[in-house]
Amino acid sequence: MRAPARFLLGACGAIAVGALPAACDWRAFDTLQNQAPVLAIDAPSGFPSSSDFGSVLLPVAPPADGSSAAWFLASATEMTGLALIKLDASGGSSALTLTGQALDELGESPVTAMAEIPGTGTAFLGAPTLNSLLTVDLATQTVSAFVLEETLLAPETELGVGVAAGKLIGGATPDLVATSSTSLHVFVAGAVANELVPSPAELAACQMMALSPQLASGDKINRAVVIGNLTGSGSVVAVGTPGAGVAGSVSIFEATASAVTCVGVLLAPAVTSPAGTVNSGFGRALAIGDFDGDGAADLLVGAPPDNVYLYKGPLAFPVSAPTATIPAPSSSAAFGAAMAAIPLDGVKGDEALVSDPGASIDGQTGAGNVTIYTGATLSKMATPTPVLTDHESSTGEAYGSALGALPFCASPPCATGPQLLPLVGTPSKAFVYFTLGPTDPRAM
Amino acid sequence: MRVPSRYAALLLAAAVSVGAFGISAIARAAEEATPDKALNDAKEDFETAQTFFVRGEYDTAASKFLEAYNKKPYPAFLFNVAVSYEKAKQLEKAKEYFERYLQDDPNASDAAQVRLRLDVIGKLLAPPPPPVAAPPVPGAPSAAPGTPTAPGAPPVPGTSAPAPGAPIAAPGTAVAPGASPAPATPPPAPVLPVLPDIDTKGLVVIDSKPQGATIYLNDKRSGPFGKTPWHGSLESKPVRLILESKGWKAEERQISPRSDKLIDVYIALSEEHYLGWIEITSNVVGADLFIDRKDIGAIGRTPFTGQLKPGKHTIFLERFGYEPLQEEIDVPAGTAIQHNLTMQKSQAGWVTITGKTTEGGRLLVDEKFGCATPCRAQLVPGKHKILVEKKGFEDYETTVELGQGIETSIEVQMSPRPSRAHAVSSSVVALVIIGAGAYVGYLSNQNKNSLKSDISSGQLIDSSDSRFSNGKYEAIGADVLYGVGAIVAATAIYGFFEHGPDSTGVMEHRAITLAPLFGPEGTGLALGGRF
Repeated sequence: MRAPARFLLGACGAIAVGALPAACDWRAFDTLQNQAPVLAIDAPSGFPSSSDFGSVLLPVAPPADGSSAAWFLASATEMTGLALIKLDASGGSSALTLTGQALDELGESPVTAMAEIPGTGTAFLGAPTLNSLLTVDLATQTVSAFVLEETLLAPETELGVGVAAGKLIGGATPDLVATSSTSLHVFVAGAVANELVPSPAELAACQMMALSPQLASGDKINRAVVIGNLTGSGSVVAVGTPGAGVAGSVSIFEATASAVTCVGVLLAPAVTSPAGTVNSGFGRALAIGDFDGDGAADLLVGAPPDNVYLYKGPLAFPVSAPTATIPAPSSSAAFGAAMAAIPLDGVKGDEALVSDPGASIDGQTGAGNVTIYTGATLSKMATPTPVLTDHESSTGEAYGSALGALPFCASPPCATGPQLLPLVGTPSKAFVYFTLGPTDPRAM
Repeated sequence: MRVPSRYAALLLAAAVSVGAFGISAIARAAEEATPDKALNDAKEDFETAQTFFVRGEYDTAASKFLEAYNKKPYPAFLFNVAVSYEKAKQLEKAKEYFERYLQDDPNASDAAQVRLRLDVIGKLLAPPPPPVAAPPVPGAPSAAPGTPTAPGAPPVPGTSAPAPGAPIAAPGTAVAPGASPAPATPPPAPVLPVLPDIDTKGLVVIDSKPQGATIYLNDKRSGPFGKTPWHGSLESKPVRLILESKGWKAEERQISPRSDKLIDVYIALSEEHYLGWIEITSNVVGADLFIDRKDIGAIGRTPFTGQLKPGKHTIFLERFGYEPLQEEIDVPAGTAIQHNLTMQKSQAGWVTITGKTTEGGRLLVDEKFGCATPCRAQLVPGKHKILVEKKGFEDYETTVELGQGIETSIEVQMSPRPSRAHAVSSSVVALVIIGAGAYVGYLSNQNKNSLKSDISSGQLIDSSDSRFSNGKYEAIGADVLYGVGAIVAATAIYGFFEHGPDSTGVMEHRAITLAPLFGPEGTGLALGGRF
């Protein structure tokens, strides 16, 4: 072989040998991706829309059999679409689009409100366009009709605009609560036959207003309904009612096996800036947590676009003013549209996560963010970061459209219970944060 | 040998053979007329005969050639007599003189052709077969008197029966006289041979004074042609005569023999005392002889005789299979000296590379340059690695076990080597692809390092970060590019190592041997090969 040929051959070999180790291992990116602190989840295949996926999310306690470390439901808001997202112990995700006759009967009506029925492995769903309520068995992914419009005691509008589940009465079986645009329905022990509705007098006592048709569509989905021991004397149900041009309110009811009665009402604090503004967003979102770590449930009331109010528990009515007001950052557009209480800093008590899906990020209008507050006074958490964003945020992304606490248990039974992870939704994506808590719960 | 060298050799040979022509002290040979009056007369008759022959008066020409023969009995004259008679259709006489020609010169160079011609003439002279008589036809008219008659009838004097020596009648036209009046069926025309065209012979007569001088034609390398006096026919083309005689100055003449000419060359040699006369003999006949210089080529071969300027000279003898020999000799003026040189058989062996395709190549013996092929290389006996290489062709390699005095001849057929252009271009493409792979890999690495850095620093990057997919695709792309590059590089490597059909060689071993040789010019050892 001539010298030029040997040179070329040698050069080829040298380059190949020198460069090959640099880029051959593409699987390293899979490993790195699994180690990413945040899991981004897209709409699964078969889901009706990839851009209408993460606005309504429902974290559910992981199955006891350990088949998944965590799972949650995601629902479209403009058409019928329901998906079950499962996370494995290492944080990998798989998704399943749910189908079934009950969903088919919804036509194009979306499920816009979801609540976990504790300890049952089922979820309670509201499809207000058709005044319908459904349940879904997560283990079997079976969707069943629960209440149809024609079975209601009285004609209703937008039944299922808000739902909740919990031991409201105090029995062994969780009770189900569903709101319409005008009223509240309690299904004792989850039985359709045990339906209770507050009397008009009780509704009036709690100043529970009808949802204004003038509310923006985003403000009407997933009406805020929470169940918790806010008064220190048993579970109550709190229903938020944002207003349209009027101040919002939060009505609190308690129930017995035979009646639903008003406990009290939280009226929107007055706002002064800008002049003439009313606190119409008050009650858009509610979250129950023990933020000060005193063992009593506290109530966070979101009042977008400007404030979130903390009402320390136990509440003693009449409550004239919130315990603390968390003002929105200056760039806020929808501060308090969604909230969650998740213990993150390892200190007793929950941190408050408040989303602002309309926030501008680096000039990107509507990119959205989630701010974390901690401590009894709910100051911004210093570490690891006070504000969560999509680090590849984009204009109109609406990061924080949904917010929840996702129970994650990599290897059941988790002795101290599943670790709660922030679950943040955008209209097209859901994010699970693994590293904000004291430990990364994934099995690496 | 290149042409200039050949000319130089001829010049030197002329200088050596003829002696210093340009030396004024040497008297030129006297241009004497031939003293042979009979020859002059014969020449005159010959030229007269040629004149008649050209005019077509062949009988007269024959007579004149015969007169010339009577004055100088050169067989060529008889040949010309025969040719003239043949032209005159007198085949009997032509036959007679052709036969006399062969009797006079049975070893003539054209004796075989003349004999064949005699056969043809004999057939032509043979009597024709009798015609077959047809049955008489009643009422047929009687034959007129004097008309041809049936066979068996006595011939009528003065009729068509050809007399011996008469011109040949047309075949089939002669019939016996007294034949039946019934029309005779003519016999089928016999196929008679045809005499090819023939011409007279020219004649060259070479004589010298003194007689006995050695005649060379053109040069001395072809050896002696004869001795004076000499006569005979030569091809009709110019030829240079060289006459040499011991003690006499060599002479040269340019003559142009022709078939219609008698060329009489008579040279009176000048006695020469200035030059010396050398006779070089050797135990090896045919060894190339060089005098003083080798670069102008050999001037003769052993045994060699010739004149040489007096003084010291260096004699070189070379012959394949023998060690070259060099000897200093002293040539005295006007004296004949003889040197018998003994050549020693070479202790070496030889490798000879032949084959048209080896032209422009080279022979490497034991990885050292041997010679430019085709060529012969002298080697020490033993085992040798032979490599014949030529640009654009596959190498030919072999190993030979060379014996003393053995010539190994290898006829090599070089096989063209496939072009490396494709391999070079493939290498470049491979480099580009691999380079692109390296660059894409670099980008992938950048993404990987950036991700690692962000993860380790607690940056909340999510799994949909574009760097994951970008880096992964870049890594896969780099792998693909590496793979493709490797394939192309492998193709290139294959192209570099790819070779065509092997060059082949047919090997022959030949032992160089000596054998006793006896020849007219002397005795010695002849070189030969055993296959």
